[in-house]
Amino acid sequence: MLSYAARRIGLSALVAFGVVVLTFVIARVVPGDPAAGWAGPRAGPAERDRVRAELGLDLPLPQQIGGYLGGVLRGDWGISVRTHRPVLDDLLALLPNTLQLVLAGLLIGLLVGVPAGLVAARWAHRSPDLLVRTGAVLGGSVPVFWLALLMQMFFATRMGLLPVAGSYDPAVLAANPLVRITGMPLLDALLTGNLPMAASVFDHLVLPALVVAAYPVAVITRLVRAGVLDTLGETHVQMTRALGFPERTVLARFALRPNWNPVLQTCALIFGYSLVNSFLVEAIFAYPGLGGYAAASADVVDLPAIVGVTLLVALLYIAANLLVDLLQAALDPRMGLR
Amino acid sequence: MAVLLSVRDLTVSFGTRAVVDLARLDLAEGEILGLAGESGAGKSLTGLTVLGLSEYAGARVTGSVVLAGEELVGARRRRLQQLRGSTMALIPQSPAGAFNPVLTVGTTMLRALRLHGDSRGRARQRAAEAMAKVRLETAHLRRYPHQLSGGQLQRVAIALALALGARLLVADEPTSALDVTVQAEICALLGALRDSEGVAVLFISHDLAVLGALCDRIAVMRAGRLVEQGPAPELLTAPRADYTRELLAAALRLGSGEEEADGA
Amino acid sequence: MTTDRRPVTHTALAVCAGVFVLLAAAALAAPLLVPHPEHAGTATDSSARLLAPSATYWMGTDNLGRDVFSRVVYGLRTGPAIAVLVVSSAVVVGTAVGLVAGYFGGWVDEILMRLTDVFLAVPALLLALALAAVLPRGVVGLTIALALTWWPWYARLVRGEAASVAGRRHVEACRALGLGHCRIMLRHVLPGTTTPLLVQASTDIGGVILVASGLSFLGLGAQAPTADWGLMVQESQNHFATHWWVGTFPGLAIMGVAALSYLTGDALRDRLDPRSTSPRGRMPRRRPGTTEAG
Repeated sequence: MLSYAARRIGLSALVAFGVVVLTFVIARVVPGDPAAGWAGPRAGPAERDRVRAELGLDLPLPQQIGGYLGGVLRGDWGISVRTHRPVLDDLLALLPNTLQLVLAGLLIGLLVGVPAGLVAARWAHRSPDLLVRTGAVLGGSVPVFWLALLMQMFFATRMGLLPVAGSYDPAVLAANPLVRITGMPLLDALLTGNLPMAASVFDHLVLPALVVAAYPVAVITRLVRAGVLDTLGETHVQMTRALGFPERTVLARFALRPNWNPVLQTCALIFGYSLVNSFLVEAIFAYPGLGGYAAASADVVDLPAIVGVTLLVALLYIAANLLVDLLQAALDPRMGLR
Repeated sequence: MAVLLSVRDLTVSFGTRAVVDLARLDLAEGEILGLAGESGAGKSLTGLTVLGLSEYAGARVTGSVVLAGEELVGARRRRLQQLRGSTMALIPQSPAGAFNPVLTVGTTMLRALRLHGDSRGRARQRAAEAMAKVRLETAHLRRYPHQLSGGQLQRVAIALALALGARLLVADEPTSALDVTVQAEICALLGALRDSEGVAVLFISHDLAVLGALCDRIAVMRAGRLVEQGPAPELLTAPRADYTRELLAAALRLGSGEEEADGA
Repeated sequence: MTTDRRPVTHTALAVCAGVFVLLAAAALAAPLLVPHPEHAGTATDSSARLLAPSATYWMGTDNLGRDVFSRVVYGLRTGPAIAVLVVSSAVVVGTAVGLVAGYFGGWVDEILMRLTDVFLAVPALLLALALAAVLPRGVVGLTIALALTWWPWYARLVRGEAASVAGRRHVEACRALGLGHCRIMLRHVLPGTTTPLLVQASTDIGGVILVASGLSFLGLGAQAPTADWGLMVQESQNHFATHWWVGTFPGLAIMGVAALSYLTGDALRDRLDPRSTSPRGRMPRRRPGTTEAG
């Protein structure tokens, strides 16, 4: 168990290092003249030369990588060409908002996907199953940015049920200042008992979170359905039925249980995917987060910012997967044997 | 003795094909009835049908199965669920696969007891008593299935049935996945429980030697139909049907209990 | 529980293949099919701005007076075409890498697979976004960025299959006979990988379309006036609430094609791969930093 954890952590560190090198390649090797990118579109030749020297672009490649890695480790992720602020500061300021959105999406994914998958498995190959599976195919195929526009038009603009854009109502914030604890507005508002602010943040979160949830719902539904159907074919399910458990309990409390691990693993996978999907959604709902930052940076080829976002998301993704694996190793009774 | 289970004109079919067609089969309280036959004779399906489980495999059931005076064929699903566990229980073929791999066997047992109406404390107490009856320690309840041997798991399955107060155990090839010494232990345990607790056992097996040693009566099935039934010693020494003689001859040729072909 | 689903999957596969062929034909014959082929290019019509769907304009017109239907049909030539190109080039590169890694094993395998680990540690859309941002804007840059993003998945897949085949007796025999490595790989190892590759590739086409349209939506893919579904949705953003048809139809097209590829993958899996009975569809597959046995 300990050696497993050590190996798993070591491997993650190796991959993280690889990602740093990959972002280096994207930032300094792929573009023809990286100095032009780092200095920004409006920089003159003199400024480019200054940037070239500053970045050490005249040094040999291994030395450049070393310098870059050192910078990343020290927290020096470069200065954004667009905002003129340190990239890491920009990213850490926006990250909690994006995490709040993605976690809300994942939560909806679990709350809807697990029961839907169970329903589909319970009535496999019959109409409820067909309905659920159709929904899952559509959920997995819908372009999020388009879904976001549709939902925004329908529920916000036309029906006026929910706010069109933003992440809270500035007037509510002015009246009820928010204390920053986790950085996630909804969590902070709830923790400090700031109910008006919590309500405002919640209202603004509903639509984007539902859109982000489309993919998690689809994936979790299919996973739970397939997994539970496989489990239903095993002998212990028959034994459970022979003990008199009603079919609902057989599915939800016995057949579902061995599938929690794959679901958890998949959550880590979807986390990465949803994080990036949320970028598109944020752009539409003018929701302040990494997405808008990434899109704006990409638009003006703000290299330090683009590379920073890529690195941060990749590191988060690696960390999420590591966490899930360690958690599983700790929780699974059968891990002791491996 | 009072009749516990009586089966009349039972057919079990998949689509238009009848797989089981039993005219008459009775089981008294405290009796062990052996159900013999080759693989595919419909023995296991008969057992599942008695438990009301064959419909989950997509089978259609007609005829009559009366358990303790109550008709099971066509009974309400809810009522069948109440009877399963509390009045009749399954002793599985492969104990290793019969328990949920991510729950301790105790969790499974407590959930079942709670389902059938015991309070938390009462359930704990009953589970511990039942474990003692099958000569296992209470500590075994905290184990996961993969941490117990096949023989131990089969004992847990029997303890589960006892704890729930089942009157009828449907034992579906309960020893075919176990090795010979463990087989003998499980058979001895079932025999002892019949004597001490008065439970009845429908013991399904392809192995006439095992059945002969344990059962009060034996019924022989072939292609879903009953070939003959009678008291165990008579049926084994003086079989009336040719098919029973063939089975006996085959069992003798195979030798006593070596390398069993597992029946399905 | 024991329902036989074979006949259903046969029909499903036939229907999917049929629709795919129809779409390919429509893409090729687009100039003959649509009323306004010129609207896929620079032509505009200021007299017909933002008209609602009608008998003349089946899907209405956009803010430049262009026929949305014509542009949606022409869109088959960008998004789906890019996806087919991306998936096929990624399959070629990934197969080569995977074959070499799986066949030779050892440190070659180790290095190549750690390399794929690194690529797979960055979510596809983000890696493609970063690459597309530094590559020249337009369809070509987008295609390269996506191909660079997708190859590791096939490398993984082929590597696993190749490693299992490489140890088999007939391959050992070929080695003993002194056949060249290339020949053994292409003749004896590669055929075993085609089924999973085909299933994966058909599912991935939809995934690539979704990512490609997302990038075009962000302005990092196809550039105006190209008829690209993602770009069309983006261009409709400002008047989406008042003129729904401009953005709705291109979005539906993306969803339809993605769903088609999704279902084709499922149907192919059911048909070709009897081992797996439960379709799991478009799942994220590999996670960063997890090793596989073998």
